[in-house]
Amino acid sequence: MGVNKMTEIIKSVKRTNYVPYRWVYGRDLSRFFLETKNNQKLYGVRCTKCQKVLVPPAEVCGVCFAPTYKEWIPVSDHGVLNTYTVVNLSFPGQPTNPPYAYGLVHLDGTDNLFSHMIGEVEFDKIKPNMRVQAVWNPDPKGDLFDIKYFKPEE
Amino acid sequence: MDSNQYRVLEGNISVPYRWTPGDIYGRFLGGLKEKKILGFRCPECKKVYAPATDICTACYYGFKPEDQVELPDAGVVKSFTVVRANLWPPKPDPEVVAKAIAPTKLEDHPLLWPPAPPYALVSVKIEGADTEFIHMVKGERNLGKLKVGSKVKAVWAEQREGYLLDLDHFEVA
Amino acid sequence: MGRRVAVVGVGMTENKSHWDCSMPALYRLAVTRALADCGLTHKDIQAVSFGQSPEYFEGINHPEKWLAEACGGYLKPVFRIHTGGTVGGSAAIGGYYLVASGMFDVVLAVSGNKLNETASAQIGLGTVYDPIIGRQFNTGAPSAVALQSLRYMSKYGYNEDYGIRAAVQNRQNAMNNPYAQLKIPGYNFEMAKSTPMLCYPLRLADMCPTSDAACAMIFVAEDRVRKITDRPAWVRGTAATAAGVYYADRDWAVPIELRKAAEIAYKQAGIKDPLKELDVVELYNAFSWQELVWYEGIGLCDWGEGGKLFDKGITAMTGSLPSNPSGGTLCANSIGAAAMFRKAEAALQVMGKAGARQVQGAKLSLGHGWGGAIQFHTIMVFGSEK
Repeated sequence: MGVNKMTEIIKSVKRTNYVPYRWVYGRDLSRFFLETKNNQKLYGVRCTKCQKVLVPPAEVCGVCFAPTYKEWIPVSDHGVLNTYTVVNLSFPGQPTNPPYAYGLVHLDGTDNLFSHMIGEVEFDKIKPNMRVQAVWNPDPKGDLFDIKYFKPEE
Repeated sequence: MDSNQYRVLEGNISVPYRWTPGDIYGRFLGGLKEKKILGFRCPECKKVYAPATDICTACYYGFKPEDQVELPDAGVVKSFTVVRANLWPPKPDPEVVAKAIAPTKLEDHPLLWPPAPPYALVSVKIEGADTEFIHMVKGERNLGKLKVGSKVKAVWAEQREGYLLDLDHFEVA
Repeated sequence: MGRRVAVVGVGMTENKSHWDCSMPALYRLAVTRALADCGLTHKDIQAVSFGQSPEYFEGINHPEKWLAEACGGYLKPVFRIHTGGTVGGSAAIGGYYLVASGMFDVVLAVSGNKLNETASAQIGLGTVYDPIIGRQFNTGAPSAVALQSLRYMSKYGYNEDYGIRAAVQNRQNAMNNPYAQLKIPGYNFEMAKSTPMLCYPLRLADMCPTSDAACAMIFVAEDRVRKITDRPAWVRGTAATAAGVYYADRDWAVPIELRKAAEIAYKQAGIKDPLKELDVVELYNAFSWQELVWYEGIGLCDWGEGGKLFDKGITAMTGSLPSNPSGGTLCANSIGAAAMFRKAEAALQVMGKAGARQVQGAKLSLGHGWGGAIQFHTIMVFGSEK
């Protein structure tokens, strides 16, 4: 027998998990993104009970637990920036390399908040409660980036 | 709306991990790197766990390094199934995965993906152990001979890193 | 309300990178410490309420499959609960329910996570968003809470320094907590203010660390309590609330979900004026501004008054209602265990077992948790008296 060597204690096992998915839009989101792709228009739905307008459309109003699908309402692509952040933190899966700004937009004629990127503006010129408008993607694919970002209203 | 206008978003979730085997399973993996199967004997019920675990299930005993025992790299098949159908989607393009996990590098965190059929998934009772070790038997010659009760012996990988597949597969003795 | 129930034992692991400790060993460490705290063994445990937050943190789905035995759950009922960041609170409440219902007399609640198992916890957090209408911005936690923080600042006119000051107060408290991760001697306002801006308005100092940890609590029925301990923490009130992400009229600076939970818990506990009656609170302040927003949420003051309450020094260790003597989630965040740490810290305070972070004479305490897109809240109120 030679020298009894200590067995190494393995400290970490490094691997990447990859899972492919097919996420189904469903009826309402399919129609919503068909409109953004073909007509560059945003639509919301109105709760049958509280009458609030939700964008993107939800099949049920979370507050009333009432259906919403009886109305399909065109809404503006302009609104008010409710709040925002400028992201300097870098991590995998981001929409673009930091720094970038994104925020919550209260679209005119709606009652909830729509999250999206903010562009065409210096970061220190972005302010809460400023008016913003959608900038449409010239190459729409029927997803959230049919709007490129929101910019200060002209 | 026409049903063929219903949309589907194709995508993936790709996450790089660095799993911590800990003090006990870390030793088991270190053993595999040296072509050894290390078990751990519970001092309360005397059962030997191979592969290693942190805890004796029945006694709620937490294993310590001194409970380690070295076992032969051979055992007996308790059950098996031969996998010939590939039930997985196609293996992804490495560039797709690399892009999804950037700035983490794919070479530092290789893709975890199942082996290509055919192979047998086997439950092996290592000699001297009281638990079963789930692993593979490979090669058509081995698959043809495989039975419940078959004696099997480890075939070690050339390149070993302290990973479960340092033990590449078992062959029928 | 069901049967009366008390916490008799608490077990915590340190919050840090446990590179030498596997997931099962980490859970077992918390459980064995809780058992040792009250002199019970794993054989005394009749059921387990198990918590862990999103699986993508560790990349192991169905974790209770792997961890049931690590919690002493062999041949026992093990129930998994998951409500995002507040899962530790939900698992504690689940454990309480199992005893209060009369189904079991001795129940273990345990919750944990190892956030250092991924290259970035933010990838796991990104997967909690809807893939069609939200994940595109892969916001992770800091940028989502940045939205909440700026909304709060701009709505009520608070300047950036309030967040920094709340962070400093918690970091200084953490020096007394052996289980906290971020312990920086001499930490002060200037040090915090000089840290880089990561997600405006949040600097590094405004954010929690990435921890591995587990926490365990043992809930026991009334008639068993006195045989086990003379220092129990009686459960006086519990509440859990949920809401949506995109619901109408939502204001991220006004957590009505938390206010609702507080009202329910106070009613059970017979609390009419929480600012006067509570002796200590532990709030899930993963980010500095949440310290102030949650003051309002649990009804210590009106909406918008959280910063003013902070100015009065009431919630400092020297004040009449100390907040987060442990340093809070700001100084230790494993997510899975964090909300149970809030409950366990609150319980330890009324047991008189909080060591250097003890609020002298604490008789009534509150532990809070939040999860999801700031939409799930849990509260437990503990009393030294039944």
